[in-house]
Amino acid sequence: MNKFKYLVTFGLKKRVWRKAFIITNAILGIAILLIVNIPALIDIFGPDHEQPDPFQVIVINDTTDQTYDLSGSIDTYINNEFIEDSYEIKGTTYEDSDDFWDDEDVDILLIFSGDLQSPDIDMYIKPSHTQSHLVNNIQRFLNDYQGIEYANFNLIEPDQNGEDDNGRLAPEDRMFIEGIVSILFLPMFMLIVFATQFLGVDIIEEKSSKAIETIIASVPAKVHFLSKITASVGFLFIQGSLLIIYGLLGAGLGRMMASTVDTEALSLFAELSTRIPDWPILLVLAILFMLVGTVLFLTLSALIASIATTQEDYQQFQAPLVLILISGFYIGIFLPMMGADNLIKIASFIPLFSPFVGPIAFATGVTSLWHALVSLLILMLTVILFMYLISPIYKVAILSYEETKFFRRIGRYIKKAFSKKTT
Amino acid sequence: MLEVKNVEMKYGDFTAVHDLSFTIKPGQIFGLLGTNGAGKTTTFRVIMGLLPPTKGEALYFNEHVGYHNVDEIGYMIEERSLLTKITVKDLLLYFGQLKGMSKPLILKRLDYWLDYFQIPEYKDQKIKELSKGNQQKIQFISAIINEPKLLVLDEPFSGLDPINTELFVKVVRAFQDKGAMIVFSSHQLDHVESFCEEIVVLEKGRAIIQGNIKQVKKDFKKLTIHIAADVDIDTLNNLPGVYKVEKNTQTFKVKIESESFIQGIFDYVKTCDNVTKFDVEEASLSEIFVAKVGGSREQV
Repeated sequence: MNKFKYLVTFGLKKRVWRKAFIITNAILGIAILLIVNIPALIDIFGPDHEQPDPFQVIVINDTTDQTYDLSGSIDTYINNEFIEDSYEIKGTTYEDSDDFWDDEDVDILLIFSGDLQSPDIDMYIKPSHTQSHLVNNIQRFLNDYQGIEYANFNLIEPDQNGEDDNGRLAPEDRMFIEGIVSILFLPMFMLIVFATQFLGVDIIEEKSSKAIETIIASVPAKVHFLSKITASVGFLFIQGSLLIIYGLLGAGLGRMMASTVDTEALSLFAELSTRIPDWPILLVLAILFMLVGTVLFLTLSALIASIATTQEDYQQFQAPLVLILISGFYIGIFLPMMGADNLIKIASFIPLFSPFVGPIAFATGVTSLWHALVSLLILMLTVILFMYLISPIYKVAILSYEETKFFRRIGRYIKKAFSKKTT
Repeated sequence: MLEVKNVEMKYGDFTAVHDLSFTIKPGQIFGLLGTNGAGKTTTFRVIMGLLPPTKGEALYFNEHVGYHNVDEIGYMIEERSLLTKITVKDLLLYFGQLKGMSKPLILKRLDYWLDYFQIPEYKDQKIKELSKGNQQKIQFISAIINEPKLLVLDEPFSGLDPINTELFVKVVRAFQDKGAMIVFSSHQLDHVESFCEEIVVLEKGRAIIQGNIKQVKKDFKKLTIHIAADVDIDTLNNLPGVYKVEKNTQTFKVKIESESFIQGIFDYVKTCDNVTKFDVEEASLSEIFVAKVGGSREQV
């Protein structure tokens, strides 16, 4: 136990508080402070710092449902803090569209007619105000409008099976999360890549220098294997905690800037907690997925490093593992954006992808909590299975300097590892 | 006591060690010799418990070498097996603590051995900054820092100059005096001859010479006679029992099959003029090694 503890401490000391660690953290810290405060920084240093006058919009509800508060709905949708310009939305007293052209105080006129479920919409914009961003914002609302109404009506009226879509996020919330997810999951991805790389390099350094023989002569290969994984997880905790501290510092800095320049504080975390009511569950799930996923990738990395004989060998052999890591990350980011919900569900059950896809699928409402827990359980069982299978192969491979092709080599190690087990 | 009993080690269809047996007693230095690939390192790995033998066993005081008794063993492998990016102190702390030693004890012994090897200034230097000879010293220190009862040294003298070799030899002798068992391999047969009592010579995994060095030399039978006289080389070559004659600048080196042929050669030399030397010498370990290994290769 003491030797295991010492191996873990030694592994951690090799990585933490070294020059490379300090420089990397200085860069990461600054980057995170900036990322967390991007909205506030844009707000402060952006070209249109001074708030322009709101655009005056008149909405005429000429649909069959005159009771529906159309102007109120549009107002709620369009005047949120993530749309750069602000609009003042009003109902109308106009007789017809000519009144709009005569009214110098009004910029836009929207006339809704027909059935509210599928209305005909006429949009009038005065030539002097046809800036592209304004038109885009209005058109986005018009595109989303029917979807929102459809979802709202469904919430009010249960469908034929008596089920509802409670688990689903509102489209604008989902769009927001999809957009922000790449920023939030990037540090997680980077941490797993760092930890995986560090572990592999650490093992291959000991193996290629033959120091491994002196080490394995003193401690069992299994203890060495587990100590390397534990040290890397420890490194992950230290680095992860530092990232959280940078994030909190960033949030604090954002509040400070908001108070000094008299602008509204725009915090990604605050916005996320508003958009995802289940954020504590998501946070716990994300940490668990990350932790178990890291152990999975560390186990594979340890296997690859034990099979390699030189640094060059290791770099070559670990390329597929890095590709799998990158694939998992991109699947997690891009599939929700593409609306490929079924593919996300499938990917969230595949252990090599689920560390990234699992929490994202839950965050975007594609999967339920139960679904996420099953996915996590599969991941955990895979880690246990991999550790059980890889540990004896590691024991054989770590002291072998065979130079045959990768698959031939691993085949021989597997044969040797398990033939020994049966004797 | 270390007992290697009928050890056989196979890698797939390849047999690296065939039915090898030997015993080392406390206070004994044992030489394991052989050409590259003869099976020396495999034998060391079996002794260290790093490789389970296909057949047979290696016993250290009637127990298998395992993690319960490995802290009493020092192991120095053939290649320089050091982590080059860390300092001498950190490396010795690492290896020492893996041997179950406390930090203060490691540092105390490290200071002693660095002084002994006349390199105290390298304590806080990175291994990669050291010369090959000094790296070899550090590796040797890592093998002896736990004051082992069994010292396994794979090519401990490779790359060392004669002065440093002498320092190593003194340490090995000191451990022998304390009752430690030392097993080592070396290509430098003069070292083996100078301080080993027992040897095994491996060739393609088989022991082709084994036993007490004096007995091995006696059993080899072939002798060398150094002659300084006006002899006729053809006559010498044709004498019974002579299988080779080499002419050096001042002397003739006559190799004979056995002791029984000395008298015949002596009788001939007596008839020659200017006889200043007639010296009979046992074959050196190096000659025995070359003769046996060469013979073994010819048989294959």
